Amino acid sequence: MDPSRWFEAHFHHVRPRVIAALSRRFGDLDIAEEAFATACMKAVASWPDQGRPDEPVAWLIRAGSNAVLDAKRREATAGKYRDSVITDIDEGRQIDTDKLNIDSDELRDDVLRLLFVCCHRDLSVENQLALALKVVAGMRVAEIAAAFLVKEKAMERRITRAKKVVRDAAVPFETPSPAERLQRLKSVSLMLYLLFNEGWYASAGETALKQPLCEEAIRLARELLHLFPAISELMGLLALMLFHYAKRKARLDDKQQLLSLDEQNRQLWDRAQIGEAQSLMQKAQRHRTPSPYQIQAAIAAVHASAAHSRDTDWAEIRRLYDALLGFEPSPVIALNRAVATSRIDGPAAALLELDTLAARLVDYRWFHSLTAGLLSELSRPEEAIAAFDRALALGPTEPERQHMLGKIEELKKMR
Amino acid sequence: MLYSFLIYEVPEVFESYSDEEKEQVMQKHRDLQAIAESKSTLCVAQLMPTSTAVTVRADHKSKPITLDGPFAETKELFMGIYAFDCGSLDEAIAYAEEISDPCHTIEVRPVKWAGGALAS
Repeated sequence: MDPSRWFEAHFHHVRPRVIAALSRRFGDLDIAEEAFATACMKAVASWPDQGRPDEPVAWLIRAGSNAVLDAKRREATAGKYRDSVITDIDEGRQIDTDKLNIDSDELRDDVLRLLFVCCHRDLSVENQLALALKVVAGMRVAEIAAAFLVKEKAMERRITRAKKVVRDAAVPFETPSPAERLQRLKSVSLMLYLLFNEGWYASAGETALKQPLCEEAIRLARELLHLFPAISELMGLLALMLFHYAKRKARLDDKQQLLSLDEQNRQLWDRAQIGEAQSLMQKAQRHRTPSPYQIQAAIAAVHASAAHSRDTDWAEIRRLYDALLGFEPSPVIALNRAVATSRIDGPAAALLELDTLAARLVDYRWFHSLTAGLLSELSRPEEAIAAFDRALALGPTEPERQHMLGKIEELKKMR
Repeated sequence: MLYSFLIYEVPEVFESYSDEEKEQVMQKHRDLQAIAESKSTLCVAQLMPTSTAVTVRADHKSKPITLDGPFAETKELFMGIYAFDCGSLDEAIAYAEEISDPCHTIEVRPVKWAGGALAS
């Protein structure tokens, strides 16, 4: 392998920790990013001869810090010659960095803080994700732009603006209290969950472009779990991502259309990854503090353990959706519960459940397409066509539209 | 003598490979597995990532406790093992060289005692 690839992989891996420590030191994301880039160049120049240091993270933090202090000193010196301004560069600090101790507890809170800063509430979710991908994950702006389907220049501007917003974020560097730490973990977990979903729930044509988002979400969740190994919510979150991602090779057909779980060739599911997800879920369950991520992972686990869709344990899935509704009484979750009901008690029982949701889901096209499907099963073609028409009016994707038009044609023959 | 080949992952390198490069690494391992199998004494295992691990620890006083994650902050992650009969250290090193790759380092270490399939 080309050695530069090895370096790239290594820098990618340590980036969140090094950037987090440099941001603490200098209080600025741009300075931290630049210092990290300089430190990486120094590493490429010196590691091949001097050998990889025992503590590469500490080495890079030190090299980055020195680069910033050197630059500041150069600026100060230039200034002094120009107008004799006395500078406040602290010489002692410069020497200190050579013996800089890296406290691993402090470092893990720094990584969490850095991600938490990206979840600033004045940023839209998309801008939060873009900022985290750029600064923490180190994704190139061009790649981020491609994943969010915008031009590179536009993404560049959005990230610059987002950095300005968070620059003055009043997030203290002191070690957070346990309660504050859990609060930060919650916000960051949600951001990673949304990042994964942004990548995963893409339309068929966009899956390839969006896939890196899933990979980065998994990578950051792994890193966070590595730093906070006893947080069951992170185990549940990573398990959930892996259960989904294990199906990546099975979800598209020959014509690059998305397949439902029922239609997928389960031989193509990544069994090793499902096994890893199951282990993480079992670890999370030992804590007996279920989180919505853990319950969603458990639902995915039920699907993953069925060799064929007809073997799915729908009663267990319905029980899990009830548990999820206990956390979050959302009509969309109730809709998924109704799907389980249709498999257990049949379409009529499921329709009764859907009736109670109609008012809240009137603008949700899946509500209407599911209703239409159940009505078709009950041989009520007129009502089914009407429901498909309502779904068609709510902006389905092209393949969905084709699928529904096909169903309507079949229903017309039934009347 | 039985030699073990302890494989330590270098984080993220394998993931950064193209499908073709991954396949080259896997092929080297399959070749070694075929050699190991021909020697009848065989142990082959690849472990899941350390995030799936728990550590059980006991002191003399209380009941053992189970902790999440690997015990210590380990820099290189143990990810798998081969063990089979080799004629000499040189032969064992030659096998290790066959599967060597920047994505993992390999510790070659003689086996002191073996149970199960390896004992036969």
